[in-house]
Amino acid sequence: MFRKYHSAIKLFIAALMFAGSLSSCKKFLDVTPPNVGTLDYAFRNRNEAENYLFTCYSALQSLGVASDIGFLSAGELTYPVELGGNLGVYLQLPRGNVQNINSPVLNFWQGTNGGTNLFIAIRRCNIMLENIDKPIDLTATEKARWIAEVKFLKGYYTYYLARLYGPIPLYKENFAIDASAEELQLRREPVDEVFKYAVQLMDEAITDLPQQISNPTNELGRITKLIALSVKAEMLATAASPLFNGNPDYLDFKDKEGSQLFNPTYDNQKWISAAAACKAAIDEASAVNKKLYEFIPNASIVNISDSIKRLLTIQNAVTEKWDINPELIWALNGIFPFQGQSLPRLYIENSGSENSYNAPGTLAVPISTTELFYTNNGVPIEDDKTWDYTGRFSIQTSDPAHKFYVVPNYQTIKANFNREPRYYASIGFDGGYWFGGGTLNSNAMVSVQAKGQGSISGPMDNFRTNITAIWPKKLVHYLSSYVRTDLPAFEPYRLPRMRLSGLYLLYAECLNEANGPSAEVFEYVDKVRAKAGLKGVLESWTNFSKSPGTVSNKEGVRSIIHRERRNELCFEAQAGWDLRRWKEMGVALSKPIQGWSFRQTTAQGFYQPVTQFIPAFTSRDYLWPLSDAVILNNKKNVQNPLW
Amino acid sequence: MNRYSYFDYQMAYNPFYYTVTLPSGYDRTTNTYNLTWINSAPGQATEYLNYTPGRKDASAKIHFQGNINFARTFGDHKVDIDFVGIRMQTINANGVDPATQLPSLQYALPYRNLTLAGRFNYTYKGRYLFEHGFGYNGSERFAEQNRFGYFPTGGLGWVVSREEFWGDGISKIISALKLSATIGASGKDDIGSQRFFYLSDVNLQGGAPATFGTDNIISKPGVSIRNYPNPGITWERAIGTNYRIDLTIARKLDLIAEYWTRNTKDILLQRLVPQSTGLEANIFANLGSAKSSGVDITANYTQTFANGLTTQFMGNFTFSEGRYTGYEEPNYPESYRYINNTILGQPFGYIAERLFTDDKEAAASPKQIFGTGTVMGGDIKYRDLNKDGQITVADQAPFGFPVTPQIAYGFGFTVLYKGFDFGTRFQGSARTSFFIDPRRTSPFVVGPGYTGQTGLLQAFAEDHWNFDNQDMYALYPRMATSAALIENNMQQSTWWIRNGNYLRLKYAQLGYSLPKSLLQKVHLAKANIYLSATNLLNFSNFKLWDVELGGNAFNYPLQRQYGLGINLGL
Repeated sequence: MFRKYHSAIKLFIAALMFAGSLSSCKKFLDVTPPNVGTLDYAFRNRNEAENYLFTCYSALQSLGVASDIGFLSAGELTYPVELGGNLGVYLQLPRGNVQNINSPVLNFWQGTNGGTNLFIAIRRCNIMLENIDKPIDLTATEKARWIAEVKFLKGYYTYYLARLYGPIPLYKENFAIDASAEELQLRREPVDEVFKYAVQLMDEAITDLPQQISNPTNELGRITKLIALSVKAEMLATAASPLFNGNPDYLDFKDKEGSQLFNPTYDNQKWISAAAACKAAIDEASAVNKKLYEFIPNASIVNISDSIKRLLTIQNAVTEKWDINPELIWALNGIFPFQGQSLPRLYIENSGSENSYNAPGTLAVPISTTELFYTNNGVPIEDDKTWDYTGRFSIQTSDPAHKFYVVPNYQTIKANFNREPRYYASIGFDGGYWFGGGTLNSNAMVSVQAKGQGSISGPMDNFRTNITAIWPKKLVHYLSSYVRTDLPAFEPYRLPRMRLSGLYLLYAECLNEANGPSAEVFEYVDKVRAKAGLKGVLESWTNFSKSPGTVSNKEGVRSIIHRERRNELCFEAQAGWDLRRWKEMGVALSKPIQGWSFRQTTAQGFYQPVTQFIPAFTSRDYLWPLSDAVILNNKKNVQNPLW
Repeated sequence: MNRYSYFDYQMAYNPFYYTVTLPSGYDRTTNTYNLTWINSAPGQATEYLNYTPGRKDASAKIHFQGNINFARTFGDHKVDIDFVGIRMQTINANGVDPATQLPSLQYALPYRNLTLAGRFNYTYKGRYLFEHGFGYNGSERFAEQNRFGYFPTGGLGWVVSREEFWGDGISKIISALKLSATIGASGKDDIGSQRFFYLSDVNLQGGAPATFGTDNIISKPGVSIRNYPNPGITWERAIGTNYRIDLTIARKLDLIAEYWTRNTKDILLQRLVPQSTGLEANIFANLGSAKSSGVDITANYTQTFANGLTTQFMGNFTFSEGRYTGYEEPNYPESYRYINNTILGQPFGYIAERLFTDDKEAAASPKQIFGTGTVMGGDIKYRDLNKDGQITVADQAPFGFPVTPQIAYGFGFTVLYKGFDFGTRFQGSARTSFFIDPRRTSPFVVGPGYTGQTGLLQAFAEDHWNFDNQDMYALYPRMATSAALIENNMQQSTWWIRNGNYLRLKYAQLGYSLPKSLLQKVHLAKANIYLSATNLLNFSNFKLWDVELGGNAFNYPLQRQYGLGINLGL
């Protein structure tokens, strides 16, 4: 009887077994163990939370010169397109054919093409602020300091975006991931609001920041009160500057609801607040013993003349180590990456050595940059009644008066004579001495000799040619050396983001804008000039300027301060930002980018200016474009004007 | 069970590199070179062998399967029931995240799948067919509530030619006819790049580092987020239908024709979130849907003549086309930018008008900014579709056919006569486009993945834009020494698109088998001799190179092979 059902029973048993295995199989698919890292674990204890604090700092440390518009966009330097890399692309911005809306270069909104995603950075700061109460072993003082640091960072990222894009959406707190599209789509806030919020964050940060870093060996680079005060001053000065303060060009720049994104009314009060902020920063600087740098020769120097010492005071104010440089207020921790590109070959043996690929000397200074520097009388070369401006390109053989600057009996041009010390400290030109580069003796200096192939510093293959035959000497530490066939050895340094000279000039600028020329304005400009070995503004202009009246009115003094700032802070990643906020980039980039005929071997042939390219800067370039995708992904977004 | 392991290592000399430094390195009068050793640093070049260990990989796969089958015939009724249970697991020894190429905990966890599938077949009198099946599949990649997917199928069939009314008269002409239709659901869990959709993937030890200290000695790796938890993600589902006719005419022609459709939904797509929210990873959802349909036809014809001549013809044809029906897209101001309702795989790009005649025209035209090179005479001029004065991604429109052919077909015949045989096989494809790849074929530039400069194609040498030949429709635009200078011409555009249709004589063979009578004398069971050839003929509109090489002329070409063979059987 059972036989009949035999197969059915077998089937039934098999089905049971199958079902049994299935129920245990629910577990089979649960492969993830508990305690897989989630964001909560980042705030379990002080140690993990400190790691997240570093995460907040991470974006800041990636804002170095390689992606800094201040360094790349002002036409202070140029570089061959063919060599590619960061410089091959981003240093071409002045050509006007690089920026676009498909895939903007140096895109800080999305973090592409060299830019850092600053909205991610802001979100990280918010995450830190939301979770700062969680670590169980974090002391109250340290917590207060960390909150202050994160607020500084959030404020700085906001300000950085505002400088680039003008109006931006403000994510004061984070949204949940599953928030609706409506909630996530924030509008771009008017620039005044953006700056107000950034300054507010800075104010909140300043109270709890340490005055000094007590343990610089481990913590140098963390934000101090002085850094925050000077950044606040820079923010307020930027907000007060013509680009953002009553700019008539943006009268019609409105969002989709019709709100004006730039306040069209000029407000002098902005300059007054900025001047006060500068003064507060300057006071704090003296409180922590900051002062202008002065070079003190060390034991490795064989022989040094006073002229050379002056040059090193100028150069080393930039390249001296942060912890022993009293002038340096703020730098990023990363070291300056382009010393090899800035250093010319200074020994004839360099050329034959394969090591020269490590020091190709390809970062080129256009003639227009060299002409910014004053005469030795401390006034612009085109304005000095004793200086032969029109004849500046004519050949001149050097004289004993310049024995520390120019190689004796060397054929070079008039423009290389009777210039201010900052010129000789900043520019490496054909026939110019180069104190350093491995030879630390002012009686036996090496020099730049760049006339054509076969000369010491002249062109080699495409990878090792300076296309203007002028080098940015200031960007090379005097202890960096490339001797004969040795491996180049670069003394690391951090490019300042803020140094006392710059802060003084910023204060003078704000004061002059707020109230016109005054003794205090000239006092601060003259401090900077004195360090550079120049007489005061009033004395210099009265004695040597073709238009001595310049010093008596606000506009004249403005032009003097702007020029002073460009000279003093040349190559220091400031000009690109300054020229933007002053709305002077168009004028600065109106001249062709020229260099010398670097392949010519005779003085007559070499000193013919050759145009590398003609910059094309239009008014739309004052603000960075948003990419097409950014516009489309948020229906409240509007594109910046003319893009 | 299945185990896989892999390792490699490398033993090599480090080569010595030399260069000639001009001008002193070369003496023209004596024609002698002075070489400078470039890599002279210690260890850079060696005369002895170096050992470098390579990748070591291992994985283990376990596959359990249980089957139950029940098949019975009760008179006119035939029942067939099948159950299959499968339990699969794969573990990789090196859990390497493919996105970062770094080891990651999530990728070290086992990959698992569970399947319970069943099928029920019922046939009545061999004429009426009914089928029902299901699959109940589980994947470890989804959250618990979404882990399993249920995918039923069903089908009906009717063998018309077995009906009683199908008399002898009709069956002489139509010897067999079967109609069938099926509908079924299916699922896919191999979607997206995340390992587990429901888990957040936070790297607590990397991604956003910072460094402090006078000598930068204090460094921490920072925290980064690679994935946000999304428990809602589940199987991608598709519903397919299939209608089929099997037909035999006069016992000589077999014909199978099928029409199928497929509606896919819950395709994993990236959500559109404003970039300014600062999310570190993209957010995905089962949002998309697509539709596709196609036709497959196969035919075979055999005819034997009284005199011993046998001929066979065979042919096949497939056509398919898919379209996105639900693709989350922003509100484009330009209607042509929507991907929805375009053919699946249809290329998007710029509309090339012609080449610029000179630099002046290039400067006066809508701005074309691609890379650092200036647009000059001889560069491709694109159409400003939205008339905003610049060529941007908003000027890209769909054009042409997909790179995967929509139509693929083949046919051939065989003739047998008195020991001789001759056969051919043609294959072809239609409704397809391909792009000449300017990044890999442009002369003098270094293509991606290559180290040396690309060679100059004869066709480009003969027909390119230059000052002597300012041909606005030249085959190749202005030449340059680096890709960065002609990035404008490298964009995907109608300039480089070509018709990918082709028909090829893939295979032909002529053979002769010795007659039995002769074989017996030499005590052989079988002996034949043949001559064969592949890729003999090719018909295509594109003449520069074989279409099947794709966009890069320098791909390894298809070979034409000839064979002469003897087959002996003892």
